[in-house]
Amino acid sequence: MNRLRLRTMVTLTGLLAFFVSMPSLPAQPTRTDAEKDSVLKAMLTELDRSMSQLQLTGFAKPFFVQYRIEDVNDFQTSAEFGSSEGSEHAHQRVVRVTVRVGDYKTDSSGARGDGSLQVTALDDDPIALRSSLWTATDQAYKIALSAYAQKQAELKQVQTPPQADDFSHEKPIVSLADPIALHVDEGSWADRVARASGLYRTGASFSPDQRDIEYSSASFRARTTTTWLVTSEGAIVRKSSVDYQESFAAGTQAPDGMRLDRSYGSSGTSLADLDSEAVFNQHAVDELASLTDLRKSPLVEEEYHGPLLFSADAAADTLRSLLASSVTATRPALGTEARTNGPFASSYRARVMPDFMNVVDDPSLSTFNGKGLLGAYAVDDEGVPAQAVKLVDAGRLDSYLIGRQPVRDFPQSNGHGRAGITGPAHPAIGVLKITADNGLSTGELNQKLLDVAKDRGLSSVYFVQTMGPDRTPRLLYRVSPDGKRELVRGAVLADIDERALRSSIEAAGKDLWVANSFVDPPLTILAPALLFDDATVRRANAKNDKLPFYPPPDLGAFARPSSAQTRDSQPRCISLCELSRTPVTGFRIHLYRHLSRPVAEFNQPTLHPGLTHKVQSERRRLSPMAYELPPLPYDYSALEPFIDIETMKLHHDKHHQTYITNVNNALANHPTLAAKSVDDLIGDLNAVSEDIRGVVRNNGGGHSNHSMFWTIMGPANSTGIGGSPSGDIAKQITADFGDFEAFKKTFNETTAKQFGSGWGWLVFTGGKLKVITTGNQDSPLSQGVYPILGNDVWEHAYYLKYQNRRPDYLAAWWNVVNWAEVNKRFAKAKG
Amino acid sequence: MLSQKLRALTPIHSKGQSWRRIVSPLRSAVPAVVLPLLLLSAAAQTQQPVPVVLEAMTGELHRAFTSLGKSPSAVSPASSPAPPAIPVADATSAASADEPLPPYFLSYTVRDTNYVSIRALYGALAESSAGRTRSADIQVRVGDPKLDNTHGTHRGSAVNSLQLPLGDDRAALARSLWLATNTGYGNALDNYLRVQTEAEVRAKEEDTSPDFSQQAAQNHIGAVAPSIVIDHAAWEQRVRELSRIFRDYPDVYENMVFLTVQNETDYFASSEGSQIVASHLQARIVAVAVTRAVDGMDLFREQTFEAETIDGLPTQAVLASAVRDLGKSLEALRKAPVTEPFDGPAILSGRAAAVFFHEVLGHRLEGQRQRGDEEGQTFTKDVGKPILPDFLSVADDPTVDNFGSTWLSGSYQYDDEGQKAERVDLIQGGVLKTFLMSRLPIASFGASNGHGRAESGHVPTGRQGNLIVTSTKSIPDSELRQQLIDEAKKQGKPYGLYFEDISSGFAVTQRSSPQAFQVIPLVVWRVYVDGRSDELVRGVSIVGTPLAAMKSIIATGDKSEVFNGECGAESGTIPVSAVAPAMLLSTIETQRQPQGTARPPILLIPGDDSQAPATKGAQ
Repeated sequence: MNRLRLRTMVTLTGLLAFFVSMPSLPAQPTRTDAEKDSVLKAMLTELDRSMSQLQLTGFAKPFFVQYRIEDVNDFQTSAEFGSSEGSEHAHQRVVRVTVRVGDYKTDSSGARGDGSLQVTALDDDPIALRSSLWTATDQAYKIALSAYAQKQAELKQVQTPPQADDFSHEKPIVSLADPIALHVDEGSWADRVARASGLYRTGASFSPDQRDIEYSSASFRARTTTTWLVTSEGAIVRKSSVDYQESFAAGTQAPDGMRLDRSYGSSGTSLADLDSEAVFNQHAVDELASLTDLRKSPLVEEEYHGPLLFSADAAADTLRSLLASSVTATRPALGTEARTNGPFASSYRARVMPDFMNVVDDPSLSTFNGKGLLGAYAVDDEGVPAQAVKLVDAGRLDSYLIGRQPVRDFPQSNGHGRAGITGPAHPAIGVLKITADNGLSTGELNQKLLDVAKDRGLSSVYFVQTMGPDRTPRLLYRVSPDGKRELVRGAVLADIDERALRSSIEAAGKDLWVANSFVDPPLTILAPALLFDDATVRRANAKNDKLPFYPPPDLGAFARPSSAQTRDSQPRCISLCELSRTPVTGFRIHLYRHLSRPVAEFNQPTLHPGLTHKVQSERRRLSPMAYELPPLPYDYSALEPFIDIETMKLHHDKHHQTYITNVNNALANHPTLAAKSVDDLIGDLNAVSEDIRGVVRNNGGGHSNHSMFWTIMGPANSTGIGGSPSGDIAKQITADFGDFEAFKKTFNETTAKQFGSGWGWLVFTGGKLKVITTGNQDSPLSQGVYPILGNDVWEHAYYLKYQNRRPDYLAAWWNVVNWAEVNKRFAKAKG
Repeated sequence: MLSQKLRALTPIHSKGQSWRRIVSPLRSAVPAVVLPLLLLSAAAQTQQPVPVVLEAMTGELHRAFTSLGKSPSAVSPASSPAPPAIPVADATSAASADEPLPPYFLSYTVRDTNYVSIRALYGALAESSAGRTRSADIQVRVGDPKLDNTHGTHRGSAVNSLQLPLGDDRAALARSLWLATNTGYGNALDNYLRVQTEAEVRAKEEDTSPDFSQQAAQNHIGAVAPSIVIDHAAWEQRVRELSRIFRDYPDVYENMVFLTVQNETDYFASSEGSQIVASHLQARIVAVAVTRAVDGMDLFREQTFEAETIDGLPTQAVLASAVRDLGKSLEALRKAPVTEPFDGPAILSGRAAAVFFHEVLGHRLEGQRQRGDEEGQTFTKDVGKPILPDFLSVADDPTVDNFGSTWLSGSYQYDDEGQKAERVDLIQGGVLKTFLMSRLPIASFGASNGHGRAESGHVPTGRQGNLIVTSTKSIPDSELRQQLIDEAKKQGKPYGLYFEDISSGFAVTQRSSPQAFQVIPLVVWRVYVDGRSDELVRGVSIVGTPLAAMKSIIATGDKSEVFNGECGAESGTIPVSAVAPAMLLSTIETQRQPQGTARPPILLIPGDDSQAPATKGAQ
C-alpha cells in the first residue's frame, strides 16, 4: 500500500472541543520542515509576499489566499486489434491560486469559481515557480475584487439573507507525505495491451464469427499526482497518490443492428492490485465470448414490472448514480431558504433508504479485502483532514458531504472538498460504502427473487449482472421460476430512482463489490447486491445502426450473418461507452485542454500532434438543427439601387446560412447551449466551452448580427425607410450628436475605418448613444451592450457593387434604414 | 502510363442507371490484379520499397471500392478465393427505390508523425515530451463529381478520421481502415440524400461548378521520414536558458520558449490509382513574451526560427541574442508613446509586407472563397483585371524549399488531395491570373493546381504554401526610406510610419480565437521629415479597407524577407511561408488600437531581489 504514506499529520479538528491552544508535539512537522521542500518553500515565500503587499489602493486586501500546485505524471498506452496505437507520457505541473476578499461571512466566492490557473515549471526552480504563482495571484485577486463587488450588488437584490457563511473556519494543519515516483515498464505494458487487444485474433477457442468484432481495444494507464497546498491560514500539505488501471473493451452488433459492448477493467493503487496478464486476458476472452452470446440472445420483452435483482457490481453503478451527487451539500441559490441542492436538498433527518441500509463515506479506508481503493485520501484538496461521514444511518439521512463552503446546520468542512486535476474543490465522495444489516448471501438473494416471483404469479423475473451507461444493462437475464437464466438484450431500466431507493429495496447482499473508478478525482463505491421489489424493464427501442456495408477484411471467406458495424459517431469511444471501471481514453485530451488553458492564447503550436489527432477523431454527432435562417422580410431586390439583388441573395442565402450551419455544427454536442437564443449565446461567451468558443463567437455572432441587419432595413422609398429618423431615436440623436447629419458623419467615418471585416454599431450606454465598431462578427452583445443598429462592412456586404469604395456604400446605406424598427430596438436598449 | 489510363473519371452514376451499369473506371479498366501491379510500377519508378502501411491502405481501399454499394453477389473480398454471399447492409436507404450507391471516389490519407516538444517558461522547464502517432483520413464521395455528398455546406462529410495502430500489422491496419470506411460511407450516403433534397427545393445556384475536379492519378513512393535524433537533455537546457534570459527584463511578465520537431510521413492512396509516400520535416523554436503598459495596453512579441531539421536551427548565441532583442523591444514598447491617428505614407518591412500579403491578399485568392463561402468572392470576377500596381507579381510556389539561404516551411511535394504541388502565378504585372485551387472547382477554374491542403481531420481546401511577392520597381532600402520622407513632405505630414513587425492570424501569438485576415502591427516607428531620429510608438491599428492600402504601393525595397509560420483556417492549421520585399505605401490610415483596461501586475515579478517592497505598488 503506497497510497498516501503519511509520515505525520497534525489535526486538531477532533480536539476543538477541548482547547485550541494545544502545544505542538515534538514529532509533528512544522513550517521549518516544510521549507526543506523547495516547492513548498517557493510557495510560502510568494504567499507571504502576496499577503503582506498585494493590494490595490481603495480596495480590500485578500483575507485568504491558497496556493495549490499539482504535479501530474501520467503514462498511457493503448492498442487496437492487436497492434499498439502508441504511448503517451505527460508530465506537467499546474498552479491553482484561490484569492478571497471580504470576510468569512461574505466573500468574493461565487459559482464561477474563484481561482486562476497557470502551467508552471517542472524544475524545482524557485523563481520560475514563484513567477507562475505571482501571475496567477495577480489575476485571481483582480477577479476576486470584481466578483466581490458583484456579490454585494446581488445581495442587495434579495430579501432572504444567505443561510450560511461563505467560507468555514478550519484549523490549519501541517501534513507532509512523501511524493511517490512513477515506475512502470512502459515498453512491456505497450506489448501487453497489444496482446490483449488482439485476443480475438489469437484466442484458440474462438470460432471465426467470434472474431467478427467491431472494435477490440486495450489500454494501460498509470498516474501519480503530487499535490502541494499552502494557505494564508497556515495550512501546509504535501500529498501524493498513484493509480493504475488496465482495461479492455470490445463491441459488435446483433443481426438487427443493435450495438453490443462489453468491457473489463482492473485497477488499484499498486501494480500488485492489478490482475496478472493471464487472469486479465481470461476476462477479456470471456467478454469476447459474451458478445457472441449476446448476438444470439433474444430481445427483451416490451415491458415488465416486478422484482429485479442487481448483482453487487450492477448495484454499485446504480447506487453511484443515485447517491454520489445527492449526498453532497452545495450552496443553494441566493435569496432562497434552501439548505442545499439536488434530490436530498430537503431530506435532512428524513428517511431516504430502508431502515436496514446504511451509507458511510470513509476516505481513510485505503484497502478492502486486500484491494487498494482509488477513492481513499487522508487530506482533502482544501487542506482539511478527511473524516468518515455517516450519511445514512438506519435509512435516515444524517449528514451531507461538505467542503469549506458551509450550508445551514453544517458550518464546518468534513474533509470532502475534493478537486479534479486543476479544478476547484467541491464536495465529492471518496470511498462510499453502502451496507445492509442482516445481508443475504447470493444464493439467498436468488431464492428470494424466485419467491417473490412465485408469490406474484410471475412467469419470469430479471437479474442484472452488469450495467452500461444510462441505466442500460449490459448483461440482463430473464429468470424462470425454476431458476434457469436466459440472456436477453436491448433493455433499459426505469423507475430506479430516489423513490425506489427509499421504498422498493426488498433485500440486500452481505458481500460488497469494490467498484474503483479512475475518474477525476478518483472514487470507490463498495456496494452489496440489491433486490428491488418493483422495477421496470422495458425494450429500449433505440435506433439501430446499419450493419456494415461490406465485410471485415480478414474474414471474407467466412460466410455468416455479419454482425460488425462501426459506431455512428466515434469508433472507439471507450470513455463514452463506459460508466466505470474502464479506461477514460479521452482523459488526456481533457487534461491537456485544462493544462494548456492559461497559455493557450499563444500556445497553439505546442499541441502534440497525437493529441490533435485524437481530438479530431472524435466525430461530431449532428443533432437537430438549432438555428434556422430567418426569411428576408422583403424581396431580394427591395433595396435596389442602394444594395443590389445579387449581393442580397449572396449575403442572405449564403453567408448568413453559413454562419448558421457552422454554429449549429459547433453546438451539436452542446444541447444546453443550443437551447439558448443566439443573442443569449453570444451574450455570455464565457459559458461556451473553450474548444468551441472561437467558432461560436464568429458564427453565432454572424447569425445574430445578420438577423438584426435584415430587420433594420426595408424597401427604399417606402414610408419610414431612409430619410431622417423619427421618434425617440431622432431626439436622442439630436441630443447626443447635434443633428442627424453629424451622427451619420460620425457613424460613417468610424465604420469606414474598421480595418478589414467588421461592423459599425450604434449603441446606448451610460445614458448616451455611441458609435462603436467590432472586428469580424463580434457582437456588442458580447460586451453586454444591446445594438440599436449596425451596418455590415464585410466585403461580402458591398464588394459586388461598390468594390473597395466602402465610404460610398456607407453613405448609400442610410437610404434603406428602417427607422420604425430602429426605434423599437432603441426602446429595448433603454431597458 | 498506367496512371494515365486510370485518369479519366467519368461521371459514373446518375439516377436513371441500373446498378449493373455503374462501374468505376478503376474496375472497368483494370482487373483486380491492378493493385499489385501498381505497387510494383510505383516502386520501380522511384527505387523505394513500398511501405507496409501503403500496401495495407491500397489493399483495403480496393476491397472497399469494389464492395461498397454493390449487391451482395457482386462483392468479392480480396482475401477470399471464392466470393461468398455475405449478407451485409445494403446502401439503398439513402437513395430512392433499391438502387445501390457505390462511392465514386475513395481515398485514404495516413499521417505518421514523430514529434518532440520542449517548453520552458520563466527560465525553467515546463514540458518535455516525445511520441509518435498515426492517423487516417478517409475520404468517401457518393453521387458523381457534378453533385456529391460534399456539396455546399456538407463539405465536411467527405472526411472521417481515426487513429491507426503504429506497427506494420496489416490485419490491424486493414481492420481499422475498414471501420473508418464503413463510418465514412454511411456518413456520405446520409449527406448525399440531404444534398439531393436540398438541390430539389433550392433555386439555381450562382456557381454551378461540379463538386470535384477530374485529375490524373499520381504515383510517387518517396522516402519515409527518419525518426527524430535529438539530445533531449541538451535541448532542454538550451530552451531553459533562452527562457531564463527574460529574467533580465522584469517588465516581461509572461514568457515562453518552445521547441517542436516534427518528422511526418504522409501516405496517400485513392480509387483513381494514386499512390504517394512523401515526408515533411520541420524544426521550430519560438520565443514569446508579453507585457502590459501602465495604461493597460497589452503588448506582445514573438520570434520564430524554422529549419527542416533541428541541426539547421541557429546557434545558441544567435537565439540568445534574438531573445534579448525581444526583451529589449518589449521594454522599449512599454515606454513608447501611444500613437496618434495618422493618414499618410508608410513603409512595411519585408517581414511585415509578407504577413500583410498573406493575410490581406493570399486568403482572398483561395479558390473556395470564390464559391459562396463565408469570406466571399472579393476577386471572383476580377480575373484578367489589375488588382495591384503593375510592378508587383505574386506567386505561390510550394515546390521551392529555400529562399536564398532561408528554409521555407510552406514547401511540399504533393498536396493533401494527392496532387503534385505546382507553382501558381496568381498575379502577374498586377493582373489577377488565377486562384489557389484544390479539387473543388469554381466557375472560372475547373482543376486543382496542387494547393488542396488540410490538417488531419479536415477536408482540404485551396490554401497558400510559399507566397512570394516580387517587384520590378525595387530600390535600395535607403532610397525607400528617402522616398518615404519625400512622400510625407509632399503630403505635408511631419512623419511617415515604418512598420517593422506585424502579427497576424497565422502568427503563433494570436491572443484569442484565430481571426481571419487580421493584421496587428507590433513594432511601428515614426520616421520624421525634419531629421529627428525615429521614434517608436505603440498601439497602432491599421484602419480602412486593406485592398485600398495595397493599391497605394509606390515602390518596393530590393531585398526580400521570409516569414515562416502556421496558418489556421477552415481546413486546419498548416505550415506556410510568405516572402516579400519592403514596400512603400502612399497612404495607410491608422488609429489608436482599442486598449485593454486591465492593470499591469500589482507586485513586481519575483526575482533575486524581489524581497524588496514593490515600487510600482498600488495605484
